Amino acid sequence: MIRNELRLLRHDPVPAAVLVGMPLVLMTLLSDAMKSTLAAGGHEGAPGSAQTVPGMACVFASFAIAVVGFAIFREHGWRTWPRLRAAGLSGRKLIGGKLAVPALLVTAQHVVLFGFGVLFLDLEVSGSWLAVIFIAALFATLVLVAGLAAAAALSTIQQVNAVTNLGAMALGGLGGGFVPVDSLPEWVQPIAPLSPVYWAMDGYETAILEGGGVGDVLGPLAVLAAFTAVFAGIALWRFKLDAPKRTWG
Amino acid sequence: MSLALTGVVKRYGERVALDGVDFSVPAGAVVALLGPNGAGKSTLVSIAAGLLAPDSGSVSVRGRPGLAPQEIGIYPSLTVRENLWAFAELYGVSRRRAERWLEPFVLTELADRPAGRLSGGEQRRLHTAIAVVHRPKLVLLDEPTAGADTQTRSAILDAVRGLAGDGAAVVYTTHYLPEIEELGADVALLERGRIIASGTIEELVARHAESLVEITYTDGRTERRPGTSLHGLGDDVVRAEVIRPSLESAYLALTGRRSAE
Repeated sequence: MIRNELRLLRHDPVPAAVLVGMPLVLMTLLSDAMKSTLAAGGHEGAPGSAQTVPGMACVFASFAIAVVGFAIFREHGWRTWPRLRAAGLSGRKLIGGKLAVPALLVTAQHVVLFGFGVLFLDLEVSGSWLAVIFIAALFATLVLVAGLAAAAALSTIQQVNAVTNLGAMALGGLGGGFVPVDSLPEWVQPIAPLSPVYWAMDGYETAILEGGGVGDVLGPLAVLAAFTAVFAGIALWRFKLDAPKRTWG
Repeated sequence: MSLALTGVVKRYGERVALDGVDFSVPAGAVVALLGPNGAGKSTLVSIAAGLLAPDSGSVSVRGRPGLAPQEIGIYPSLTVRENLWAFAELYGVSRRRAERWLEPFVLTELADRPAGRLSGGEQRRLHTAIAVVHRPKLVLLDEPTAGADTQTRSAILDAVRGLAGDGAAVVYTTHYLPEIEELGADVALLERGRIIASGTIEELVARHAESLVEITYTDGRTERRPGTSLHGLGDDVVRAEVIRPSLESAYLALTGRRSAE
């Protein structure tokens, strides 16, 4: 199953390449501008990459929600879903296979974006790298499970497209993925914690800019875990292997 | 038995799709499942494939069945060869063994072509080859020749004969009765979720078929009269056809419809 997912990726690598390449371009373009924004927020002398690297990592990892959704819906569109089921794959194996490549993609995103930030954009983690890794890992898990919940709860590919892509942009912006939350309009700031990105960025700020360790990011980690649990609950509640899905056919 | 359904009932809300169906297929047999659209053929196939659970009754299947659903299911971006590999891997079958199906389905020269660029008939052949890639003991083919060209139909019929010859049980749903006669398959006729007749072609013809004259009138009405006489037809007849005792006339007698309707 995973081998075939990789085969499909090899035949059409463009979407994955865009999800890794595009944030690199945005980070490079925005980091200088973010330096002054961070300074205005009390982080004098911090490189702009302290905002753009985790911000773009969160925003573009959120597109993995759509990647997971499409990975399942396209099997319905190609009419291969019943064949996979007839092959006797358990639900766990089917879903595991569908999550494997998006998981690889999100991991690659984080490694490339943080690596690029350190090597070329002066990103320094003043606190614990382990805390950064925990936040990244939990956020990655969250988006994968959210993708599964979207695939479970939505019934047409147009819904998946609209909800996951626009949702990723909206939650990324609301949670401070593009600019710090304190730079957002005042009326937006109180609702920013509704976005999981807000909590990931809160944790990143603690670890990257404020010298925090794992113990200092337990709060954001707990909230991210709670979001993940909610999405997992939706996925478990709504996911049915024989549910009809309308695609492009 | 490679497939045995006993007292199978399946409902979709208020509608009863299968109403106490008993159906079995021994190893090496080809059983054609006939019936008008909506009779329950695809539901029966889906239950045999394990895609649907019956509301009641029991299902016994030998091994993991090979399924070719009615609608073509292939990976369009993968090549023909890779499509076979993809499903072979799921069954733990080697790539080399999977590729043995290229030739019987006339796909050898297309092996490295993306499946999405194949013609409809070529896709249909690949779709059917995928179903048998693991050499199943039970093969479920749901209208495998729907819309197929002559070459595709011939390749699929040859493959079905070969599979049965190797001891596989084949369930074959179709609306094309000449194919069933060509295959020499046994027949089960499904109507409104019930098996209303079953047996060999000869048995069905002997039991149910009679000569009929099908008359079509200028106003579009059709009428069927027993016998072979065309005597006394009026001016308002645009077409009159004698249907000799055959599987087609047995089908007509049992369902009141032509098989292709």
